[in-house]
Amino acid sequence: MSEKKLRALFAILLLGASALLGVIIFVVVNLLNGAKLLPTAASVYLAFLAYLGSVLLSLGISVTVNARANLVRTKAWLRSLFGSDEQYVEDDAALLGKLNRLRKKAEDGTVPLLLGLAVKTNAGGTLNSLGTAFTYSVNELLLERVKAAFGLDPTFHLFIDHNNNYILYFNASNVDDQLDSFRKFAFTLTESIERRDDIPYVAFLLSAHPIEAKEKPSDALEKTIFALWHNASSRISCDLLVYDQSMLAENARMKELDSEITRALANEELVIYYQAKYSLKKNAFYGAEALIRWKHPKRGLLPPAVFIPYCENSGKIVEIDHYVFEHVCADIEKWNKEKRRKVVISVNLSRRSVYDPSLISFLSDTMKKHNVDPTSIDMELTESLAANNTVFISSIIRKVKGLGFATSIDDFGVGYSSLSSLKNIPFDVLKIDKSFVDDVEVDAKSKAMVLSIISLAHALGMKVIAEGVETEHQSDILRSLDLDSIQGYYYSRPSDRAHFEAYLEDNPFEKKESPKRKEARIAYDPIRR
Amino acid sequence: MILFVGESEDSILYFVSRCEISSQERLSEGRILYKGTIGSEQIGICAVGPNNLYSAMVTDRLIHLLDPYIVINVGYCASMKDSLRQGDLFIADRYYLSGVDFSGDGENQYGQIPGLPPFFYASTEVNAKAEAASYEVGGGHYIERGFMLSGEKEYMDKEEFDGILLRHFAGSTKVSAYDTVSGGIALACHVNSTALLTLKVIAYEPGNDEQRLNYRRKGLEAMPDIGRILLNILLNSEKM
Repeated sequence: MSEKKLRALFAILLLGASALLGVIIFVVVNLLNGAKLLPTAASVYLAFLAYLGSVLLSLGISVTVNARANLVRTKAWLRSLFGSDEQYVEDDAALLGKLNRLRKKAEDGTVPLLLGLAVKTNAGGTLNSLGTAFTYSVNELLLERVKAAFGLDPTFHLFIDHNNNYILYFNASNVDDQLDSFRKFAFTLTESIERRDDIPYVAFLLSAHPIEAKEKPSDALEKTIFALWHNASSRISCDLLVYDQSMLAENARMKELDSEITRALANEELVIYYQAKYSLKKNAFYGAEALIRWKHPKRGLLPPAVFIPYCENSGKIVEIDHYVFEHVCADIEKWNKEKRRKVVISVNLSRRSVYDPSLISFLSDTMKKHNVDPTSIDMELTESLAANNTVFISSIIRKVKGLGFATSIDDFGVGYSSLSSLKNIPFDVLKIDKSFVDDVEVDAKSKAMVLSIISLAHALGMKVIAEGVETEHQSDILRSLDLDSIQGYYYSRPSDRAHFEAYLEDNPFEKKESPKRKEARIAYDPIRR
Repeated sequence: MILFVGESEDSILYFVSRCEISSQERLSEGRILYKGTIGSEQIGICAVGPNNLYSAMVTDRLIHLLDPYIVINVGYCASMKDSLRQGDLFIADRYYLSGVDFSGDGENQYGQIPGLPPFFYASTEVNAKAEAASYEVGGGHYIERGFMLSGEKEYMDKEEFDGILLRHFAGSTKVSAYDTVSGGIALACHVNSTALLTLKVIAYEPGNDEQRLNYRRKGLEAMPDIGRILLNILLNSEKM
């Protein structure tokens, strides 16, 4: 019988035993109840608790047994490769003792060097999060490669802790050379992993710390592991960090920012700003893009550039996307109740949100909760996101459109594979990036490119909007190129909800201007003069 | 969610045995739908053959049931050109239906259903990834991308294939392989706007009588290589 079947059988036996135990307790409790010792509700409650407890216990035992089985296999593999399994260190005290002994043996002219190696999954988790089977496969490969690469170095010692952090000890005569060979080793490891068909793609985090003369081994080990996992979510594979004191300060800053953002979300410190969009065909405002700002209690109004990059790395961006969408829906609901003008609000979707399996159900549930017509919302994806994994993104966009939302491709023209995205993904609106608009007045190439993009998008049945329009002259040129709409400071700056509502009610662009007044205004326009 | 389909249980056997299967469900058409995971990706696996009618019907049902973002079609097919030999791998860029002729004169160029495009096409991006992975971990098989012709009849003679090519495709050399299920799968994917990747092994060279006895076995032999290629793509990329 295979190991997999044995484990399944074991799990079934445990569940069966727990069910039997639950039934016995149920019978006993009912007997007590028959003797009028317990009220009926209490007997049912106790029996249920007993059953639940025994099921949880059996699941816990099953998980522990699986992890233990994996550990036994890893140790057996260590013995077959290294002749003993003492490299696997189950408690820190034993590891520190070994490190101390090794450092005392270090020859003069060499530097005791600690190198860290850890595995990070695609989702940013540790090796253990892949499950026991994959963990064993990765450990097996790693141990084999570590032995092949460093096994002949007499000063090399390997330790693996219970979190599957690999600590490599060397007495290095040249630290830089040792770090170079460690990097090269990690690159070959990445290639090996890519060729394996039984292991998901994983990234390798590397760290290094030369032990100083009077440094305690415990401190050295702590620093190596700290550098190993420092800023792990935003590091690429084979990125080697040598421990530095400034990492502590950076880490403290990140932790503070993280807790501040959590607080900001809870206290509604993040506010939605709206930047109105102007239709050149209807000569009226028809919508807006929802943008986020942080009303920090101490630092004032913060732009997204201050906190969004951190949120994208840490995964908080999904919460922020949900926050924005929820608030936009609430605002639209309010405007509907107040019978205000119907506008289409664009909401940005981040990369992490697009890959979030709960995205579609969240959008659908929130929309229904606020009784919002989906045609009032336009979901924006950046071009760089659309250019990657078009098959998957295309299926998500179809589902989003299936809910009734419009979809836009944002920042068009600055990424790569733009045309491929346009062909494969059914967007409704194309937003030309600001970089094409900036010099459209003076650069014939920019003008020609904008004209071509507009013609192409129209041929594909899409509307086109230009971002970053700041002057009337730019607006006039874009109008002459048959552009559909404009978003930019010339027509509207981002403003909070109250100002946006007031601006839609009263703005200079939707009022009919007398020819005399227009002539006077143009005469004083420094760009047109 | 990714859906793996093949013409028979043999074609999908490798995936059923290599993936973490969590449940099995018997569909009303008598097919077994296996559900499970590869890495962190949810998958469904089902045999949808033996012919285009069944494959279209079952694949359409599975797409509605599972909502996959891509369908991966595996199995074996016959070669339609001399350069593709038994054991070679084939990636379909286009899918043509054979034996469908509404022209009235038997000379319909493509043999396609009225109201539908003359052929169905695959995602070039995914095909390119599959081709690259085939060279990387494909076990040394010769790999070719081309057009798949799909019909309701198992041809054994080379003359019959050549006749089809001359009559309907002006002797095009891009029409490289023939099977009896991919057309239906491509039709179901087309109407549901779902991406399709077809990676099959050439199991039979028409006119080669010796292969009539061993073509199913030869098809099965290459399944681990096909599985390795697809698992390589799936495990190495976040999403296709």
